[in-house]
This record gives sequence, structure tokens and C-alpha cells, in this order.
Amino acid sequence: MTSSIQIQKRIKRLIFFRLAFFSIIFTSLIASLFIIKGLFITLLLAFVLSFILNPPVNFLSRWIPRNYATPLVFISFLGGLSFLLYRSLPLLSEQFNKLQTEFPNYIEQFSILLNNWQNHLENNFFFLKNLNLSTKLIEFLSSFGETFLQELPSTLTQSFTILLLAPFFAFYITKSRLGLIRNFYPLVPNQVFEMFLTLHHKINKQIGVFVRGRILEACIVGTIIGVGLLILNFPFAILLGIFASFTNLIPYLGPIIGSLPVLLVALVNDYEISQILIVMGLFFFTQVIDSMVLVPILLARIVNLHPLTVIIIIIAGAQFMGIIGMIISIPLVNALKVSITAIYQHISDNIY
Amino acid sequence: MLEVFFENFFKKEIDSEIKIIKKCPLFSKLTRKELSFVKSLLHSRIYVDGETVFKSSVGTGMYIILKGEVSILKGNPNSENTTLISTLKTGQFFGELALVDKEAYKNMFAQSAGNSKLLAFFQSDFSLILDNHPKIGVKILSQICEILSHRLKKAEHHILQIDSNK
Repeated sequence: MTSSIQIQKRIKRLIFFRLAFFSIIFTSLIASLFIIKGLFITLLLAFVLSFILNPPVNFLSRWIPRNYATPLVFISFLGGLSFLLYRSLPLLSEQFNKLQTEFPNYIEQFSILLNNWQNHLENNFFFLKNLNLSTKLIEFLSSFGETFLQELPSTLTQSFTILLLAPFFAFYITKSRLGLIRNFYPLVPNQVFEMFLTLHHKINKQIGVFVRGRILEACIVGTIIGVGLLILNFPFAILLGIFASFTNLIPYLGPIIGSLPVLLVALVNDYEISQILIVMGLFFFTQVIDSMVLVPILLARIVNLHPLTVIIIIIAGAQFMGIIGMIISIPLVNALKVSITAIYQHISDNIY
Repeated sequence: MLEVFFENFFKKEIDSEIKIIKKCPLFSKLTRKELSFVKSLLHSRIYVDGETVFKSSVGTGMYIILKGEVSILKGNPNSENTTLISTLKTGQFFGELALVDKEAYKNMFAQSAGNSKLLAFFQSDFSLILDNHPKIGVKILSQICEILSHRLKKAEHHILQIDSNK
């Protein structure tokens, strides 16, 4: 009897040490993500890329070995992407140059516009008189622009290394069939191994659907807006379409942010009300398609977050990492929610 | 380079593992190539004497014994009230029905008798095979069906015997 109790005690001690060892390694890995600058974003981008390219690699690896399927898919994807970029570069740079030369003009026009509005508002609403709306807004905009310009060089050098490193990371993640995390499986203690594995699969699947759905959605939305603006002969159509597709990744607020520059360009260029309405109608139409067709088809299976939660998360994300934070915080929190739900379910299953 | 060295050095062990896997009826229909693919999805786990391998509530996988012995018991691992059902030796396997039914082993648990090394095959990996390599998945699934059908026949036989004894 005593020997069996001793054995139980020994096992308990062993379990404790294994769990402690595992958690130390796990936390130090996660901590290193935040300490090493740029690693977090690189890894995130690599994961996104591997989530996109995993299905074709899986499909191809039914017939050819995975070690050949992965480079094949990567080369054709990255090659196709760079070809597309190469072909569209003249058009993009033309629009970009135009924007660069006309940007001061836009700011000036905008401030004139604001002044007019302010006068109009102050004449009608006496309590706004002491607020100096336009100066405050201009101040805010110029400070925002300044910080943006200050951050730009470091962001660019960082993004260059990220852009170079991310495909490498993604290649090895995709090639190793079940990703990087599988290499840590032997470290996981027996007691939590089954939960760890099940959770890994579950989260992997959910995030894969989420990432692919979101990116496809953004691409479709951006294409509709870009082509629509081109048809309407709107200035900077393609740039605005790309911008809208990026901001569309931010739920609820994204579409509004995406339509703001379009509104600005239209106002500064003295578009008539009917023309502005048509352009806004395009955005409205895109949003209807997005929420009625794209989201139900592409993202229906994903746990949705409450709108208030989304706004709080976006604010927090913006505070920590700026615009990138706004875009990546939602998927991260979604992943966290999936994990917590799965862990909770696992624990409650274990009790009963 | 390292891989070549590793394979030469440990080839015997890997070969013997594949032989043990091949003996398991679940994988008996697979070709050598498919077997090595399935093997890459199995997890080699080491258990110490008296450690619980699976509890009824979490069992979603099957285990093949590479080294050592495992006892299958009825009851709860935390209570004293347990009855030994059987003891399995090297090369034998258990928990295969958990791949298709989470509640297949209700009120049962497995405990390592002495130190043991097991190969674990979990339901989530199985569904991955079914998704990405349906050809292999169907082979394994049909073997599970065969095992089930055998058990059903056995159970029917028992019932008939009980009936005739009445």
C-alpha cells in the first residue's frame, strides 16, 4: 500500500516538474516574440502566408511529395504576385506621383473647406463659437501626418526585412506539414498532450478559415471599389481601391475609414452632390454585397465578436501598434476566443 | 546530411517501429509509403510506472505499445475501486474505437505498468488524414469498420448463447 502511495507521489512530482518546464519554455518563447523587434510581425505575416498557401500545397501533396509541392506552390504564387506588381507598377507609380504632387494642394483645399464649414456652423450654432473646430482639426491632422512621416523610414526598413524574411518563414512552416508548433510536441507533458493537440488542430482550422476568408473578402471588396471608381473616372481610383481593401480588414469601422479619403478627394475637387452620392452609393453597394453575400459565405463559421468588443479591441490595438495593430488585433483576439472556448469546454468535459 | 546520418544510425529502430505499426490491423492495408506517412503523424510518448495513459472522459486516440506493458482498468484513476480488465504487451494496441466515438471507453482508463513507450494516434490527426489524404483515410476507416463488425458478431454470438442457456 505504502509503495503505491509513494509511486503516486512520485508521479505527481514528475507531472509538476514537466508542467513547470513546459510552461517556462512556452512563456519564454512567447516573450521572445515581443522582445525581438519585428519578429512578431514577421512571424504573423509568415503564418498568414502559410495559411493562404497551405490548401493548394495540401491538395498537390496527394499526388506529389510535399517537399516538391511546397516550392512549386510558393514559386508560382510569389512569381505571379511579383509579375502582377511589375505590370501594374507604372500605373500605380503614376497615381502615386500625382498624389504626391497634389497632396499639399489637397491639404490647403481641405483647410479652406473646413473654414467655410466652421463659419457656416458658427453662424447657425452659437455654442460652437469658442471651440475653434478647424484649427483643432488641422492641428490633429498635421500632428498625425508628422508622426506618420517620422515613423515612415523606420517602418520602411523594418518592412523590407519583414517582406524578405516572411516568405522564408512561411515556406518552412508550410513544408513541415503541420507547422512550426508540431516541433514542440515532444516537450508537451502527457497530461495535457491530448488537449494541446486537439486545441492546436481546432485553432489551426478556425484561424485558417478566418484568414483566408478575410483576405479573399478584402480582395473582392477592393476590386469592386477600384473598378467602380475607374468606371466613374474618379482620380486615384486604384490607390483608393487598395486603401479600401486594407481598411476593410477592420470590422465595422474599416469601411468608414476606407471611404473617408474618397469623400475628401470628391469634396476638394468640387464634385456635385449628385456625383458624391453616386460615389458613396458605390461604397454602400459594396458594403451590402460584403455583408449579405461575402461574409455569410466566407466567414459564417467563425465565432463573431460583439461590436462593442470589436471597438474596444481596435482602440487597444491602435494604441499598441498603430494601424497594423488595428488590423491584426481582431484576428488575434478571435484566435484567443477560440482557444479559451476550447480550453473551457475541455475542462468542463473533464469534470462531468 | 544530418538526416542521412540519423536514418542510418537509427534505421533499425525505425524499421522495427514500422513493423509494429504494420502489425496493427488498422494500418495493415497500407503500403509502405503510406505507412511512413502515417508514422509521421504518430506521437511517440513515454510514460512512467503507474502513470495514467488515458481517462475515459478525454480519450480521443488509440495507442500502440512499442515497449513495456499497459493495464486497462475499469473505474476512476483517482479512486481505489478499480478492476483490472486486461494487461497489454509490446506490439498490442488499445483505444482504437475512440477514433470514431469519443464515448467508446466510458468508465475505463489505461495505466502504464512499468515504464513504457507508446505510439499515439489521435482523432484530430485522423481527421487530418481523412481531409487531405482520403485514400489512406478510407483504408484505415474500413479497417475500423471491420473491427467493429467482428465485435458485433461476437456480441451477437454471446447473446445467442445466453438465449439458448435460458
